[in-house]
This record gives sequence, structure tokens and C-alpha cells, in this order.
Amino acid sequence: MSTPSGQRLVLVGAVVVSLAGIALIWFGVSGMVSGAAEPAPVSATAAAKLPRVGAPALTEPPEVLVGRVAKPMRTARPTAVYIPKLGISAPLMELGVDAKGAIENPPLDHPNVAGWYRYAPVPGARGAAVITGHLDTRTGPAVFARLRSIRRGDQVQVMRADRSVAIFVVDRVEQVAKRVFPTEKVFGKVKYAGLRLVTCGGAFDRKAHSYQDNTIVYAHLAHAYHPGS
Amino acid sequence: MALASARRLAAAGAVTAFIVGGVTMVAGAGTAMASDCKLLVLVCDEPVQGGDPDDPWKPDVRVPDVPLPHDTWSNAPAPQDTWSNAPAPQETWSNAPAPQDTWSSGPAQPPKQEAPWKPVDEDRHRMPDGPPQTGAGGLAGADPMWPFAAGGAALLTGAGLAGFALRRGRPAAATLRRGRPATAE
Repeated sequence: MSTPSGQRLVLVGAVVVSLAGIALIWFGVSGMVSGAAEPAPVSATAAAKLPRVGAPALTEPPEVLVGRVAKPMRTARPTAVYIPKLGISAPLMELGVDAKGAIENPPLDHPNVAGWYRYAPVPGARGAAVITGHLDTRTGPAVFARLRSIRRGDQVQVMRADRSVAIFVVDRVEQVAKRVFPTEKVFGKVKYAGLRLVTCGGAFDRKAHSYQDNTIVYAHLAHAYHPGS
Repeated sequence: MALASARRLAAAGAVTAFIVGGVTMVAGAGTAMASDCKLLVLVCDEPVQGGDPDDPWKPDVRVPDVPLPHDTWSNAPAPQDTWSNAPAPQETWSNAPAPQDTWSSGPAQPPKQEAPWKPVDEDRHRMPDGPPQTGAGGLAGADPMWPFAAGGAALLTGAGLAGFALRRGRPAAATLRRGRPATAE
């Protein structure tokens, strides 16, 4: 009596273990188990250690800041971008377009450099300014590795050559597939001083040697800071 | 008897495997050394000096042509040589430019200053084609192999368990089959 039930138990165990094995192999094939290393989260201490490079941060709650809109500033060359929440502090370089008409990228051998698109408005001026930065290099994280962690109401400061600082507040963050990249929404004209931060996101396509998505941050100018004023 | 011959066969197989493995490893190490001389701290490009006495190669031990201090055949000019081309300190025919020369080819004006920065005019603003390519895959990491290894091991375990269950069930069934007629008789 016990022998058939024991046999049945072993058979059930065999089926369960085999099914688990099939599931594991399926996960491996479909890429559901990823070997990607998540960039380390920024701790409050790390953010606090960041050198004081920008303007004093706005202290209102995020929901108040989202509704606060400042008048556009006059044009001045942007020199650096500073995102206190993420611990990002990066110099800015000018980006044009390449021979194919695509936006140029900051050099991979300077992973902490971001770039602003020169054929769009200057950050702080009226219109949608665009700043791009690498998610990663071939060997590790780059300047915008943690950009997707930014949230609505967070602040982005752009330092400018005239010593003024444009303080933007994030309206929304989205991740879109590159094949349906919303060019018009990112680079199109707007009546306010806006800012778009763009980097790569999603899964990495090894054949195309490119990420499949883009992370896009939409922000607007909330405060124009002029030292001494 | 059969067990003893099987043991002998296994031992012979093990010895053969060891020999084949050893020969393969030696051949592999030799190939690696030939392809990379840094292996085992060997430097292939530099000849070893003072090696085999029959070696036709000899180091170059000639003295370079440097004049000795009291060398009588030296070509070096004597301090009071009259044919020397070097101008005397008070020589008046020197071609060196005087400090007040006006024909100096040095930069007459300070270097040009960089043009002041100007934003691109609004009518030249344009949208780029395609999305920014701002990633090189460093964070993507290599595809993990552990799901395949664990899945394969699980499949093997499952097959083993199933086989065990079937084997365990067969004797019990046979016993039942054997026992049934006996009890009937």
C-alpha cells in the first residue's frame, strides 16, 4: 500500500523538478533573468557630499514647484548641469548633428560629460532645450545612468556662462521605444522655457549594439537665479 | 574472474587517460609558450649573452670612435685653432640680429581672441533625425548562464527521480504478479 503511494510521490516530485527546470531554461532564453548590473542608488550622504555648484535649491514641496513657472531668461551659454537628487554634476558641451542628420553624442571616453543640442533653444530661454548624456559606456555607468530614478517635482539646475542658473522642475518622466521616438514632442516648439533630458533605457540589443528605448525627462523653468540679485 | 579482468581493464584505461592528458597538457603549454613569450617569464626577443661557446654569434665589443684626451690623431680642433668657424667674442662680422632689429619675424600682434559665443539663430533650429544613441551596453552585462545550468540540472534530477520511481515500481508489480497465482492455487 505504501509502495505505490511512495512511487507516486517520487513521480510527482520528478514532474515538479522537471517543470522547474524547463521554466528556468525558458527564463534564460527569453532574457527574463538579466545579468545587468543596476547602478548603485544615490544615498542621501552621497548627494550631500556633492560640491555646492549650483544655486540654492528651491525649498517648496514638489507639488507646488510643478505649478511654478518662471519667465524665460535671456540667452547665455550653458556650462554645466546639476541634479542634486541624483548626485549628478556634469559639464556641458555643444552637440550638433552628424552626417546622417542625427544628434551628435558626447564622447564615450568622457563619461561624465553631457551635451546640449545647439540647434534648439538654450536652456533657460523660451522653447524646449535638449540635454543628452550617456547611460553607460562599454565598461560602466555614465553621467545619466540613474536618470530614470528622477521623479516629478525634482529639480534640475543648468549653470550658464553669465553665472546665472536656470532651475527647472521635472513635470514627467517617460520611457519610449526608439522606433517610436517622439521627436516632435521632444524638439518641437513650446511657448515656455522647457528642458528635456534624454538618455538610453530599456533592454540592450546586442545585435544592433544599442538600447531599445529612451528615457525622456520633461521639465520647465521654475526659477531664474542670478547671483547677487 | 570477470570482475578481475574488468578491474584490470579500468586500471589500464585510467593509466592511458593520464598519459593522454599529460601529453595534451604539455603540448598545450608548449603551443602557448610559442605564441606568447611572456608566459613563464620568458623573453624571446632578447638574445641570451654568454651562451653556448660554439654559438657563432658574438657580442659587439668594439670601442666607439670617441677621441681620447691625448689622442694625437684626434680630429677635434685645438683650442687655439685658427681655422675655427666659431666667431670670436668681439668679432664685428657676426650675422646675429641686433636687439633693435626692426625686421624680426616674431608675432607683431597679440594672439587673436576667440570669437564671443553666439547662439544659433532661431531660423536655423532644426530637429535631428532619429533618437539619441546614448548607451554602449556597459550596464547591460553578459547574458547569465546560471538559468541554463540550473534548469539542466533540474531536468536531469527530474529524469533520475522518474527513473527511480519506475524502477521501484517494477519489482513491486512483479512481486504482485508472481504472488497472485500462488495465492490463487
